[in-house]
Amino acid sequence: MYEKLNKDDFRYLLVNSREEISYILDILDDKDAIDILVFLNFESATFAKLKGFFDKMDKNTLSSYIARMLDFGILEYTKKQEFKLSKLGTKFLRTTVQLVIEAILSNEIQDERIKEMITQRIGVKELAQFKKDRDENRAKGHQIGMFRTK
Amino acid sequence: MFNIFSKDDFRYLLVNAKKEISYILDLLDDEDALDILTYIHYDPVTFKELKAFFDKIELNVLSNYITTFFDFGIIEMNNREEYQFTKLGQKFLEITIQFVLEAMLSRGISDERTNRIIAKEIGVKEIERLKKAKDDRKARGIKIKFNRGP
Repeated sequence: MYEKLNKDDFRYLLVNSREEISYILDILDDKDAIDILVFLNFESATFAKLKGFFDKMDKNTLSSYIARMLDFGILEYTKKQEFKLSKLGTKFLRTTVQLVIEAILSNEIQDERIKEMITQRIGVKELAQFKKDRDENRAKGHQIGMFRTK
Repeated sequence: MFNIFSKDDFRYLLVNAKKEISYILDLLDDEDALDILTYIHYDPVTFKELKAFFDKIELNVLSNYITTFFDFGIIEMNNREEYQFTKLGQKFLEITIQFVLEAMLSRGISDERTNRIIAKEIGVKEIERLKKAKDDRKARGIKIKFNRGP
């Protein structure tokens, strides 16, 4: 459906949906919400299991996180009565992490653990090469992205 | 690369990337940024064309937006020296619009123009079907949650 929108409608929808967008993005500014999302990204869980795992979280608070995530289509409810990340939710998390990594790679990585994490996965040489290429391209007004071809 | 992060690393990255995430939030809360993104999303453009189209935006400000989009890997430069969306950038906007629609379907659409846009693109019957399916799923999810008891 998304592709069918004309430019004006597309812009109107984006500019006039601040309330919805801010609800979604608030999730990324909330450690408890991130914890729930990360948990469900790796395994689906019943409410009882979630409650057991997040036992320090008030039950009503946990319920309202779940309700909000269902509202936005981040979670879905399976036949096995478990909550799991929907395809949209998975894409949301992955894209967020990709954007974050792109931004981190654009600057010097300050956080030691993040640096270690990224160099471990990408490789020290590859990372240095990527940064070199990116800096050169940026100087020319071009840009390359770590995730561009995926 | 994303798939090989362990649960702990994945969480750490999300929780400790507030600065990067807040930049993303700022973009979606900035009408000029959304205008530029919408423009590039529909037509690859040179900086000169952008400058002419957004003549009310100061040159430095426009350049800053472009740099930020580059840094997040949202846009890239094509062979014709035009800015265009990367695949990551496409996904980012697509997910944002999908979330907005999900939220609207959950909460009801109060804005007339938005209502018209969505009804035109999806079709009234299809909206009703989606909304019903969504309400059913949500009701099942919430029922289970609250029936589980303490």
